[in-house]
Amino acid sequence: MRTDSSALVLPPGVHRLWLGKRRLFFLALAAVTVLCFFALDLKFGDLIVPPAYLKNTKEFFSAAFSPALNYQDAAAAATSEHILTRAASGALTMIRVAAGALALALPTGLALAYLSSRSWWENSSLPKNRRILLTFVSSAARTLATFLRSVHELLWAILFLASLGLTELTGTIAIAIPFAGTFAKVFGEMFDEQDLSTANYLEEVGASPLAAFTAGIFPRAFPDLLSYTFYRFECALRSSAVIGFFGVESLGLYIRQSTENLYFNETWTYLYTLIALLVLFEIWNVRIRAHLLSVSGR
Amino acid sequence: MSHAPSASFAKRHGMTSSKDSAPAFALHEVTVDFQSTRALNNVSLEISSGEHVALIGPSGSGKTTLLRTLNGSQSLTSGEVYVNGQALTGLASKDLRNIRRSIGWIPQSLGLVPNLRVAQNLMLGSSGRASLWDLLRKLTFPSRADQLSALEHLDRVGVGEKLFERTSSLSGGQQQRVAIARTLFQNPTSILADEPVSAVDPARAVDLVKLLTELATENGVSLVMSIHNLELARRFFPRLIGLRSGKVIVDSRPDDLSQAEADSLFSLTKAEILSGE
Repeated sequence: MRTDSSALVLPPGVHRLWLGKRRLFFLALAAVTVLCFFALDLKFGDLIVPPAYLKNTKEFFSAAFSPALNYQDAAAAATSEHILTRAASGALTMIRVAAGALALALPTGLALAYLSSRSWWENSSLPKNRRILLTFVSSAARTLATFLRSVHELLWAILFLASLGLTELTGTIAIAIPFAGTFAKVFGEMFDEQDLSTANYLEEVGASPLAAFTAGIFPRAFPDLLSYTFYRFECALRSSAVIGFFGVESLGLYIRQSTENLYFNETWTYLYTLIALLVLFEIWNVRIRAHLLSVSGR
Repeated sequence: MSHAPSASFAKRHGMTSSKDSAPAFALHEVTVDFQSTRALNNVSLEISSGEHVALIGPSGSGKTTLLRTLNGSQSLTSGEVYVNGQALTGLASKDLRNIRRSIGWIPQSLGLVPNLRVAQNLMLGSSGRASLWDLLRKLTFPSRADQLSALEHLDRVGVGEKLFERTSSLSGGQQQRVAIARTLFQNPTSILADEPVSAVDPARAVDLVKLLTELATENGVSLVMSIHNLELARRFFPRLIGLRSGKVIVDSRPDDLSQAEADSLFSLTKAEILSGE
């Protein structure tokens, strides 16, 4: 059965196994990145802090060892609530904004993900006109999801500040819009990447494509969806802090105000509150993810 | 739209035109092409109600395509398929789904959802008959009657104690049994099984095929199973249909299958080996 090696001829075509079109493209991309770095005219010397700023930097980091338990401004101490109460209230506002944003973004993202996902109907025996309609709906949902997430929450916040003012609602909506787009994209991809064996089985026994999706794809994707949702809640918490910098009453605003007034001990009180909040949430998140992984992997 | 098989076909295959006495499945000159590959080549056969049939043949011989043709999920290039006397050609997808509801399906991959409880996987068997709302209710808040029914079917296949276990925690053999129980939960009139024992060890394969044929007999349902193991097929099935390159080359009782016929089924040509068939 073995052929004489002298009679073997390589098939025609290109045989550069190490440098195909795809690798060339990525090499070009890497070259553009390097060129961009030089085009920015970055100087490592700029990283050296001028002496005037060095004093503030030193004060800022020194304050980390003695966070304020009272306001540094005597007038504020006399008139305002206790600084720890204020920090806790700011943290609660962040949680409220993040939870509100997720309450809007999650169902919207889930609905868009379902509409943009193609796996549940692409291989089914639907009539041609229904397929054309679903292809259109899927493309429209993907376009809408791209539009929603193409504008950052900070830009949405600036836009909404003008119309809604400095309220928690501004922060909530500003975060919800791009998060809905991100949920739509990631959830849609999660749906499309699921093993279709259950959905195929369900169609074989007479279930509609919608039932096959709901009972065959969604339950398989559920642990991933839940895990990602928790991660996005953590992102929403961080975003709500950043949006506070624009004036929405929360930890972010307090951090900005105390920094601007050079009350660095107060800044660290708020920063520690923020860090504690995120660490506590991360511990909860890790526990839930570990539980989900053990459940799905058992 | 309801049709009996054509008169000539009925005469040739000993069928009557009455729907009540119609065979469970009938194929009339069915051809299925996948681009340049002919998966089924002018296949005509009939499977009576309650009959047990083993489809045998090497990988790529057309067994899975034939099974998918029997429940109407495979588009035909030409020919006609009848299920309980009803022609499938031209049926709307909703009507086809109605027919599939009474045909159980055990895929090679089993199609179980690993992160659901065993009881929930059994509920999926009723997905064809239930509305979406009912299906969601069964998956989340199954009634006591549904739970008892699931337990009864699991008990019949020997894994009753696993009712509320997570499916991923079950062994491969137990999952095979859950897939069989799920099919019984569907309450089908026929069962199509696509290589259900290809991934289990020989001893377990014997147990599972025995269980499936016994349950099919108890329930009076037709059973069509594709299987690689000729000895298993001979031992448990009264009729063997052998496929090779999309053609039926053997259709006989196990005792009538000659060694030459068996050899012709499973010996591969050099071209078939190289093409991966």
